[in-house]
Amino acid sequence: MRVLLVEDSVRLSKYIKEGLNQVGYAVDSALDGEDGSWLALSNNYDVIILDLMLPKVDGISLLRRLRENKRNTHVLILTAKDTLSDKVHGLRAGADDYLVKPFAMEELIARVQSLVRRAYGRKSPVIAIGDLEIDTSRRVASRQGGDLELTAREYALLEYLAMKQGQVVSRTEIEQHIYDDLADPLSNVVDSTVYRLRKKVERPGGLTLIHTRRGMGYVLEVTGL
Amino acid sequence: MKSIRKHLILTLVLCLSVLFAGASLVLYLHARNALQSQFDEALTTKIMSFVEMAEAERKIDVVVVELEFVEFPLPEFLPSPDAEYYQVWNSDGTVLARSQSLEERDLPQIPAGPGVPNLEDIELPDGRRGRAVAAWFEPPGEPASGSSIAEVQSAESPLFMMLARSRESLDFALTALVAGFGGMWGLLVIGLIVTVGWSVKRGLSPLVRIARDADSIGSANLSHRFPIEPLPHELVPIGRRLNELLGRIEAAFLRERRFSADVAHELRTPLAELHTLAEVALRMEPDPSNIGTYCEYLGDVLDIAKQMESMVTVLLSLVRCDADRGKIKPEAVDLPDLVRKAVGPFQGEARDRELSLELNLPAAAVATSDRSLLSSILTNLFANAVSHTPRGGNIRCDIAVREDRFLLSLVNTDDQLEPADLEHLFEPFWQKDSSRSTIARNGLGLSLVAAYAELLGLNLSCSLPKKGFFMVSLTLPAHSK
Repeated sequence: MRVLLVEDSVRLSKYIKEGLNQVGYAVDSALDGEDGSWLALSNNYDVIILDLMLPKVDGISLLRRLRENKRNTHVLILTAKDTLSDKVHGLRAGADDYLVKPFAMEELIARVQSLVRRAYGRKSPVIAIGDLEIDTSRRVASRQGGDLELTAREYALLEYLAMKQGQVVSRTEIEQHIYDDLADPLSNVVDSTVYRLRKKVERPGGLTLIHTRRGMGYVLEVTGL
Repeated sequence: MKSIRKHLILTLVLCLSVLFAGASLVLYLHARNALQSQFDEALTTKIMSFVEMAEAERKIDVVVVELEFVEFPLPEFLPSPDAEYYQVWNSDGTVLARSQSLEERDLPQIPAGPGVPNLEDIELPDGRRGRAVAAWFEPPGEPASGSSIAEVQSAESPLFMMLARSRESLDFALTALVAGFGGMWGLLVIGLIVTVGWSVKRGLSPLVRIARDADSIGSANLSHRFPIEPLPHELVPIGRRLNELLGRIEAAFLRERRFSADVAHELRTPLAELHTLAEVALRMEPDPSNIGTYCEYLGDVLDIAKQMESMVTVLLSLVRCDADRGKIKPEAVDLPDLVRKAVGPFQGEARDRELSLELNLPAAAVATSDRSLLSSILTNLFANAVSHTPRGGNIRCDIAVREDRFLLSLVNTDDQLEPADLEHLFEPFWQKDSSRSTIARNGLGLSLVAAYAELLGLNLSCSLPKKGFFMVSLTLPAHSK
């Protein structure tokens, strides 16, 4: 999942990005509203974490600009403004969630996960595909009752494919949602990650879950049943 | 505790009671005199009519005096409990006649001048208090035959007569008068207590309403104002002053609340940084390869601590401003020297950012001020200028001499500020950018400058002298030897 973080505190931005990376989210960051606005309108993010008091363009203006451009990306406002009127103002401007600083990283991650589920129209944190089970709240995957040893990136890819269960997901789409803007678009990083993931997910004699659609991409589904 | 109501009631009742008592006394004395005069006049008229009824008649060498009232005694002179008395003496003291009511007793004599009746209080022979009139007289007429009542030794000798009657009726009337006035006075005092009490209560009711209103004012409704229209004329100035006071309290309260909210808000970001940093660090694998990251995080912790320390120091300085008012030590301050010392620490940063730093200082300019506070003002002004001047911009400090004062101005390149921003510049935490991310800029520097300038009584102002330039001016009094 790819997240845009618009936060003017360099240090806080660094820590949030690191915290989200630890759980497998790809994070792009912007230190002011202008850059944030450009990134938000140029890319397709799963969630945007937005500070309100930003240089150049403030958070509320960025949010309005986003909605005016028909972008429905879920937005979580992360701010030091804690009054009721601030919260109401932010939510009415089009935000989907509101979190006040200082906050617990666990809570931020849980809220981001919740917004991701909403983005893909899911209520339950557990996704089951055949004998594969993915618990998005604990960020663990298991098959045939045994936990899979996945890296953060591999888990993120599996979760994304699971969220789009039955749909073909292109490499570009995977790049956009799993990797941040620092990833080299010319590298075969997606293919190699899919390869590693397959090795961990697929079981000899078991159902094949990750399928390649030549020239199109990948799809996670149970076939032949 | 003094009570206006009690004081007014007591004073008014006392004063009015005393006034009424005085008026009653005057009235009583006047009535008593009138009654006594009337009483005395009746007594005098009676003795004079008796005297006129006396006639003298010469018989050879003896003068016989006819006293008609002796021959035909009036009923009031007959013995009875309320009898009146008369007695007639010859000039040698011989009793010529006495009323039957006296029986064998004598009236106590009172003096009387010739031709002028004299009146005095006496004790009547029956023990009652009485009033007597005494007069000398000579009976008119020639000797003639007839009844002889008394003999006198000499026809020329005048006779002395006294007439007395009880003054019980007069005393009763006077006592009734006293009782009447006393009763009226008592009733009046009671009436006064009631009416004055009611009137004072009614008169003071606006004050009670103000007190009730004031009682209902709390931190939640400081916007409340006392209604002026219904107040009586005398309380209108008080109402207005109270409303002004409430306005000032409300403004101070709002300022304080905003300041506290700002402080809390400003501390949230570094706290969030610390919180997130700690959480992220704890989630990292305890791997030696992460030591570099741990060290980097510890450096960040130190930076955050310094930032918070700096903010708390400035906040404490702002809070202590009022307390420091009494500690100001005005002294002769060499302004150019102080400016050079204040700008010193910023020379390096100015050089790094290619800022042109120009000082136009006179050879001598000695002002009267507190050196420490003034130094802090200048340091903050230069810090602000260096921080906000864009790379390659200009900073210029001038000191101009104006009669008995100095005008210090600091101009720097600034293409961000607009005229509408000027009124907010000295507010705590105000920054042109709503962002609060820069460590060096916490939005408190100019607030501290304003607070210190107010403490020193200096005139501080800011302006945009021309497009792209910002100027802060400070007026200082010249030192007088």
